[in-house]
Parts: sequence; structure tokens; C-alpha cells
Amino acid sequence: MRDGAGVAAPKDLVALNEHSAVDEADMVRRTALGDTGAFGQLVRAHQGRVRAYIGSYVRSPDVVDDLAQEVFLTAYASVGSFRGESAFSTWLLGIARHRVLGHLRTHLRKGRLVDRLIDGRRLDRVEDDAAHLDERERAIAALKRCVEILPPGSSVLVTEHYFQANTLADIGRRTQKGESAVRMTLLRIRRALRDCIERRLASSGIS
Amino acid sequence: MNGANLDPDDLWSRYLAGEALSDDEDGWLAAAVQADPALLDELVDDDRVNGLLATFGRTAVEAKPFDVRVIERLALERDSARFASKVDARLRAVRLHKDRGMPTRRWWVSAVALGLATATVALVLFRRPTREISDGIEDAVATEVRGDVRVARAGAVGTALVPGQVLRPGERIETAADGRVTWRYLGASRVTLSGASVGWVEASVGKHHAIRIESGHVDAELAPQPAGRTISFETPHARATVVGTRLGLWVNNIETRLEVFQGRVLFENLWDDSIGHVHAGGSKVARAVPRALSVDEPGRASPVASGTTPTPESSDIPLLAFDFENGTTPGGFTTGQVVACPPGGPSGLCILGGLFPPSPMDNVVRTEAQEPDGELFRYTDHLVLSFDYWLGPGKNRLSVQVWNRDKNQNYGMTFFDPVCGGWAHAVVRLRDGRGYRDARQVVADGDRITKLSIVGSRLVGEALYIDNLKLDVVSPAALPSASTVRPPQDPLK
Repeated sequence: MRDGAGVAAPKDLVALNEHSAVDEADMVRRTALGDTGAFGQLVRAHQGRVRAYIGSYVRSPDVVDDLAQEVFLTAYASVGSFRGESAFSTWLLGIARHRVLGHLRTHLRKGRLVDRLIDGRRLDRVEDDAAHLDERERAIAALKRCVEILPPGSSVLVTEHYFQANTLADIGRRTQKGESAVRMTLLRIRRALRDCIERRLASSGIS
Repeated sequence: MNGANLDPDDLWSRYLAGEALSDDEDGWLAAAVQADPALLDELVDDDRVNGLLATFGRTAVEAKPFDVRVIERLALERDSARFASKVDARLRAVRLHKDRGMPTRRWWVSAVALGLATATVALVLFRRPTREISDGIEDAVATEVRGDVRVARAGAVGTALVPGQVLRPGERIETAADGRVTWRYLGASRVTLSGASVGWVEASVGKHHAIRIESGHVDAELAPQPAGRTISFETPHARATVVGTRLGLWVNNIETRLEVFQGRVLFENLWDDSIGHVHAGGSKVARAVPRALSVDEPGRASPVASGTTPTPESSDIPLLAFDFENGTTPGGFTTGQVVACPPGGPSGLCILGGLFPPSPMDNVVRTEAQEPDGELFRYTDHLVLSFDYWLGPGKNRLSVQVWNRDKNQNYGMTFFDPVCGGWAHAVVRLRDGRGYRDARQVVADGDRITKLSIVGSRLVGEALYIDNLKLDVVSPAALPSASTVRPPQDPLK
């Protein structure tokens, strides 16, 4: 089992690639002409945001992956309609939002009451995103920053669970804590991250 | 099952970790989020952060890079005829544009002239005289959609409306603030619904066609109707029957205003049964008359004479007032029970948050309209709720929520620092509330409020007692500067 000292910091693992607006405009133009190399660069540059956006509403990693691929295929097929009136990333998130809406509406769970309530609220949120995609994008960037400044103990726990796919039981054995204690600690860390995101958004301090 | 052992954080974290909750636990957690919409938002926020972290993590440890997989899938999809034709069409267009450069002004002039000539020929050849409008029922077809416009059958989840879609009778059409939809109706007639509006096309009866507008704004340009056929616009307050005209209708919760730009409209006020024609350049308003509230019930401390109508102007009469001193739980209270107050209370009897163990409704005091279509009161910005409360000594919070029937959502506010383990007085301006489903949406004057809830801690076993509950309409000068649940001298405030 890994110990804390050997765990890579989350900041090394969270990739939201940045590049210049000039490069991007050129890549979009070349993609419109059928250059799949340029398209690949656009995918690399934006896949983090698109997948994070979808992942914030869809739990299954495989479905997130599939929907994100569809978003980029749709973008490739219709990049000619991108007029540059918004950022390219916002345009992509618009496509992603439609995909997520379609998925959630098709797969609204009919079983447990809690599932239905959570799914219903989640659907409301995606619908509300229509006018706030730039804010969603900033929130994703803010989370990246907030993860980077987590205290060491929390950082190790987040890395082990989310980035190295260790189970709660594995982490419990390493830390000699019960599984439920690990679970509750992660809940508290997520709440701290959420507060951090809100603070950053409120002060528009995506530094 | 013992509800006192349940903790929403524990249940939620187990749920999120993929553990199967028991039926009791599922029911308890569901009841908790239903009783406290703020809790539901909190859980969905946590779900979102959890999902983001999981996605970041997955992105970081993939065996094959995502962009490589997308390019591979692109190669596969290109074999799909539909995808390929879409891409090829786009590439052709882009290359044509690139090779030839921008069209010249002369090119544009020629294109416009050719288009006009073609349209003129088409009009001459295919024009249908007005008298040939079919008497059969024609579909309403959306011809233009801008912004967020949704359509749904009753009780179903709405879907985005797209141009060309047929609007079926009974389908509810909703346009967001930035939304606008125009549908062609009965040949040459066009109807446009725009800007935070709700309406639907009614089923046609014989030669009568109706469009119902619940709220918002509609514009219409209607062709002269053949003899015997009518089109009417119906709102909660009025019915406007069209003979062939251009009109505008503005509908809110209080009134409907009709303006006629061309032709004439038969306008019926459904509240005072008046009826008359409105001609071009004219306008007419139908306004809802406030209905009397039934307030003469056992348990009210300050009963208002039956038949009077508490309105925003009647500031000397509270809309609601309960001191619970006659020992009977008032009829409208669906959650809560009159019991002896904890020591130090303002009087002998109080209402204790609903007793439905082990549900989290333990801590909710709720009063509701007693008739199915009734209302508890109508909202104005000058409503002030005051009450004495006693909350359990744990780390509690206190929420005031109202159910807005017109917006179909809960509004309210949560106080995170109430006095715990002792008596305190709360003064709450209802105007400080925000929508739980959509925080940007605020309650509007005249909205029908059908439930009022005071929600204590979400910790089971932490009781909530309420006494001297009162809802007043106050003058602007008497409106408190803020909502408060602590004495002003309290150092924590």
C-alpha cells in the first residue's frame, strides 16, 4: 500500500490544458477544412472541461467517456457553424449540455425515491446551465485550483481515492480507520472544496 | 427502525459510495430532502463535486489518451453514411468559400433579385385565397424557435421545441425569459409566445380553436376567419375571440391586458362577466378580484371576521395569527401538534414540530390552505412573519419556506445561527426568500401561497416549538431592515 509521501499531488494529475486564442482559432479553421491533426489538438485542449462538465452530472465513468466522445464528434461535424461569438470551450459545453440533458431525460430513474429526487434536481441544474455555461467552466477551473491547495492529509486522501482508485476499505486499512470514517472524511473534504469553489467564484478569483 | 440513529450525512455518503440503502433509509432520506429543499441542493452540490473529482481522476490514469480514442472513433463514424454526408457537406461549403473568397456585392444583388423573382412567380402560381382556408382542423406548426422553448404533455418532462414540430392539443409550451416561439396556425395565421410565458393549444371543438395562455405575452397576426369559425385566446381572467386582427395580450397573476392593433376582438372578462368588442387602437384589462380567506377557525388567537378579505392594504389585520392557547391544533396545520411549551416560554401552550417518527418531519411546523384549490394568502413584498421558537440544543438551523402555487416551487431562507436550547423571537421578511429550484426567481406580488413551513434542525430528536405565529402586512416604513432570528444584542449576530 502506498504511503502519503509517495503519492503524486493532485495538481500534477488534473489537466485542463491551456493554449492561446490565436492557436485555437487556427486549429478551429484547420479542423473545418478536415485536418484531423488540428482536431486532435482541440480535443486534447478541451477534453478536461468537457468531461468534467459531463462528469458533474453523470456518475458512470463509461457513460461520461461515451458522451464526451459524442460531443467531440458532433463538434467535428458541425464546426462550420461555430461563428466565434462565444469562446470555443463554451460552444463545446453547449453541445455537452444538450448531450447530458438527453441522457438524463432518457435515463431518469424510476426506482428509489431518493434517486428520483436527486435526478430531478440534477436535471433542473442542467437546464439552468443554458445561461451559465461560462460560470460552470469557471467552477471547474476553480475546483482544480482548490484541489491544488488542499492540506496535505486531505490531498493524499483525495489522490488515493479519486486519482488512484483505491477503495474506502483499502484506505481504511492503510490509515487504520474504519471505512465509514474515511467516507465521512471525504464528505467533509468535498464540502470544503465546494466552499472553496463558491468563494473563488464570488470573488471571481480564478487566480 | 429507530429514526434517532439516522444521520443524513451518513446516509448520503453511503448512497454516493454505491451502497444500497434499505427501504426505510431510502424513505427517510427522501423525506428529509423533501422537507428541506436546501438539503437537496446541498446533496446535489456534493454529488457534482464528487463527479468532478472522479472525472479528473479518471482523466489522469487512462491507458489510452482520450484524444486518440476520439480520433479512432471518428474514423469508424466516417463509415456511417449520415455522419459522412454531414461532414462532407460541411467540408464542401468551407472549401468553396475558401477557394472563391467572399461573394462580391454584385453577386449579392443578383442573388437577391433572383430570389425576389422566384418568390413572385411562386406567389402568383400557388397563392391560396383566404376563402380557401380549409375548414378542417389544421396543425399548429412551430416555424421559428429562439432561445429556450420547451414543450411537454401534462405531467411529463418538457423537451426542447424545434422548428417544424407540430404542437398537439394539450401540450404545454413554455418560453424562458430569452425564449420565443412562433407557430403557424390555420393557414396564414401566426401566433408568437415569448419571454417567460406559458401556454398551450387547446383541442379544437367544431370550428372553434382556442389557445390558452397561463402567463406571459403572446402576439398574433390572424387571417380573416371564414363565417362560423373563431379563434380565441383564453387566460385565467379573460377570453379574447378573434375575428381577424392583430393583437397583444399580457397576462400575469393579477390581470390580463388586451391591446388590439388591427381589426376587432370580442373580449369577455371572466371575473365580472362583462363582455364587449375592442376595436383597433383600443385596450381592455380584466383583473382578478381578491377572494375572501376563510380564517375563522378554532385555535386562532386573533380571528378575523369571516367574509373579510385580508389584502395588502389591510395592515391592521394579520393574515395569520395563532397563539395555540385553546389547546386545539388549528385545522390548517398538517404538521405539528399543540403541547405544553418548554420552560421559560412566552405562554403555556405551543405547537411542537410534527410528530411522525422516525421521519425528519419531526421538526417541521406547517400550515396549509384547507381547500384543494385554496390559498393561504397572496404574496406581497410587505409581509412579515414573526414567531417565538424553541430549538433543541444541538447545532441546529432554522428555515422558513412557502410553497408558491403560481411558480410551483418552494421559496424561503435558512438561518444558520438560530438560538438553540432556549426561547428566541424571529422576525422574517418574506421578501428575503429565494426559490429553492431556481434562486434567481423571486416571488411576485399576487402569487398564491398555499403552504407555510417552519423547519427546524435536520437532526432527528432536536425538537422545534413555535408560539405566537403571526403574519402581517406592514407599511413600507414599518418593514424591518432585515430578517432576524436572534435578539439584536446577541453577540453572535
